[in-house]
Amino acid sequence: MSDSSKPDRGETREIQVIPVNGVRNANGEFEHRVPPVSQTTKAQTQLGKLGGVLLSPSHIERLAHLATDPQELELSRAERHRTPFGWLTTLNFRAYTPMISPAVENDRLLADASYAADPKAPRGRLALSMPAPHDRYATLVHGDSFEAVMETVDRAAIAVQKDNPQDVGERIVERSLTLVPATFTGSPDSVGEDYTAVDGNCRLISCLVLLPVERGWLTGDARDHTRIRLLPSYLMRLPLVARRELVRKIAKVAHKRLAQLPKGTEADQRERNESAIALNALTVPVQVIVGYEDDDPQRGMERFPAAVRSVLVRMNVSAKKFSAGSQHAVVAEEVATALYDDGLLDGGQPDKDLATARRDVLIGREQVPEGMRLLGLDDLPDLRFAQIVQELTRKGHAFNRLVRSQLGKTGLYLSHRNGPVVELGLRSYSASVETPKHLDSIRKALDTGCLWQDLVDTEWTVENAATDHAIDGLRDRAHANDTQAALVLGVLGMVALVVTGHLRAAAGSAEETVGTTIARTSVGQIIKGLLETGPGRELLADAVKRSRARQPLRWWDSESKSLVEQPSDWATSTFNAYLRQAVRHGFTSEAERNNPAAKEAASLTRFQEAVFTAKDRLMDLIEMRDENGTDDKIAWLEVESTFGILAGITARLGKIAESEPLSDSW
Amino acid sequence: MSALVWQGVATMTPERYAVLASLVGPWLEEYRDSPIWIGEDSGNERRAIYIPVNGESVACYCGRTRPERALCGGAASVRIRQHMAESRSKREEWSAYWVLPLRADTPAVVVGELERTVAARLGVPLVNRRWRRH
Repeated sequence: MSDSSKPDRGETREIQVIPVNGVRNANGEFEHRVPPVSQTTKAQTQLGKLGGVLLSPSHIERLAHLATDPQELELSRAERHRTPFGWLTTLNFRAYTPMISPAVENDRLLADASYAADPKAPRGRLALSMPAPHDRYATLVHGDSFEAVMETVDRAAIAVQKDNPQDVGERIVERSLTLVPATFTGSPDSVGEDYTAVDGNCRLISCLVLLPVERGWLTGDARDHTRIRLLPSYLMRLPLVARRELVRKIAKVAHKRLAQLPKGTEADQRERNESAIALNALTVPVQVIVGYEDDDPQRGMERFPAAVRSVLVRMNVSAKKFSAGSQHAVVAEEVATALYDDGLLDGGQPDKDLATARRDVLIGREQVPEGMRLLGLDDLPDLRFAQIVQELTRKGHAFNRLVRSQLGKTGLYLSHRNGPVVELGLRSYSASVETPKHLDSIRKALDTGCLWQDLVDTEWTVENAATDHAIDGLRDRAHANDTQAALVLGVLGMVALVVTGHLRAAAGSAEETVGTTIARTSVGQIIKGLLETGPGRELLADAVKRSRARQPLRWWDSESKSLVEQPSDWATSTFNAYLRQAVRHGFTSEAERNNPAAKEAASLTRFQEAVFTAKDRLMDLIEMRDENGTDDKIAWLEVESTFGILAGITARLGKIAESEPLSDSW
Repeated sequence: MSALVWQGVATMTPERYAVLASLVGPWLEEYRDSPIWIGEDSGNERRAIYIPVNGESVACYCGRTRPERALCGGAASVRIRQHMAESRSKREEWSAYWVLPLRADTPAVVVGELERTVAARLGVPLVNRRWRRH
């Protein structure tokens, strides 16, 4: 029997429909009744009068259609929420799940998306551009093509359902989703508006997949009874009235199924439960952003998108699926946007075009080649990375204060700047690295810290070092102690070494590879170390040129004092180990390292340190005896051998050392 | 005064400075074989190993300078000033310091090794015992 292969689950428990409002049917049981349009009209009028609401009439209409109980909406009171530079107005009520859409840009996937900043990114699966503010209303404006939006939304929906499914069905959703009004300029007129989730994607998607929907309900073909899984794009393509009709249909079919008399069989109970689950998943509590008031009234809605994103970041800090990379990505975009908004990207000249170019290059979603050109740079990924490092290692009161507040830190250290630099910088390589694993390894290396203090302490600018000749120029100036050139060379070299996998986080086996100690420091410190030596600078310059030409990197040979091809048996991890070894011990040849005098001196140092430690240990013992008031002498037999060793040390050291000069006072 | 905190064993003399200078070898920027009083400027070096001594010229400690951006005077004197602000025992016991100025391009790792070597030769700790234990 086929049943015998399944574990015995016992009797299927009956799942109850949880009432969400006061509507009762003739039998006194709770029933979802999608309210008639007349009720929504009244709610619309009320909403229009509510203070702090800044929505277009069509968004108000849609808002009234969202609510399970428009009357509740009429009575609801607006709440105000503080954001870094303004106040958001929100309304709380319960809404129908199919009436809302997930976040258009799922920020959880930010670290893995493909970006326009990467010249090799496939067109079509790009990260969408950032939503823009509306000029009058508290609404996010999405300018991408509707198809691209649909594709992203569905991809995000499938991803969150897999990564972070929520337990709904037996229970209703209890924690509010945060919604924001959105407009799609690239869409057909009938579906140009929506409410999208800023927070609560996982809850929303987990509900949507529980709703039993037949394809015919969406297409209008009454004969098509194929059950389908509801994807957000199906809903987003529906006009408002049709979408609401779908809700009505789902509720009606489910209630009808529950109204049938129970047959008492397992299969019947399971079907009944499915309907109950669908009804429990049909509504979610929402907190809808309906207005925004900037501290500076002149700015209008300019900083509304930033305010919305700040809500998101604060909400998700503890959610485990929101990886550090994605969080940095969100924060980094906020920083870039805020810098732009506050006029800190104009480079001292009030040139809006340049500031826009700098912002676009930083964020890397759109207009990157154009932006680079305006900044006088070729569209090379490493030059863009350098530009990002330059922008985010700036110093200055206004800059520091703004970035600090964006990052939520009291101080601004290198490590704080690092996260955003890494995420924005890597967007230039989002599609061109071979495998996701490779990208992870690059990110891991950069996360150790890819900056060094000189980048912050010195004023520097990115130079358009796009040719081999220009790189040679940088190198020669760096040899001549030109800090500006050294920093540009360092950043470009860092990118070249890390992206090709030749500089990674220190591996456990590296010491074994090189047979000595290595510098186990951050990537930034390794670059700083390389910049301090002539061979290091040669190696950096060569790495930039070779990685651009997609040729294998060369190594510095200390015997011949020149760059040589890597030995054939070297893997990139071997290169990394030798590089770290060279930073620790200098680019010295085998012969130099084996210099007997230097080895003896190092050995003497170790001996002297050990003697010092021995003295320290004795002091510890004496102090301990003092504290304990111990007067007893230690038994001779216990210390005899120690005296022997100490005498032996003195005698043998005496034999290999000069004797003490005789004192004049004798 | 309470018990001495900085108990060295080696006396700093020009002869001992010569030995230490030879350890530093090619990285030495300038030969300065005399003590500098605390509060006095050390020169214009960017990197250095410095050796504070007490009133009897006994080496108390050995340190290296940290990278500084706005240097006002030599790196060693900047670092000594910071030490003086840190603890009472240093103010009470240190009276002068000797400097081994290093070339500005000395790699940080080399500076670290040199510091270790000089400390070992002088029999002074890199971290004072009083702080090491707590």
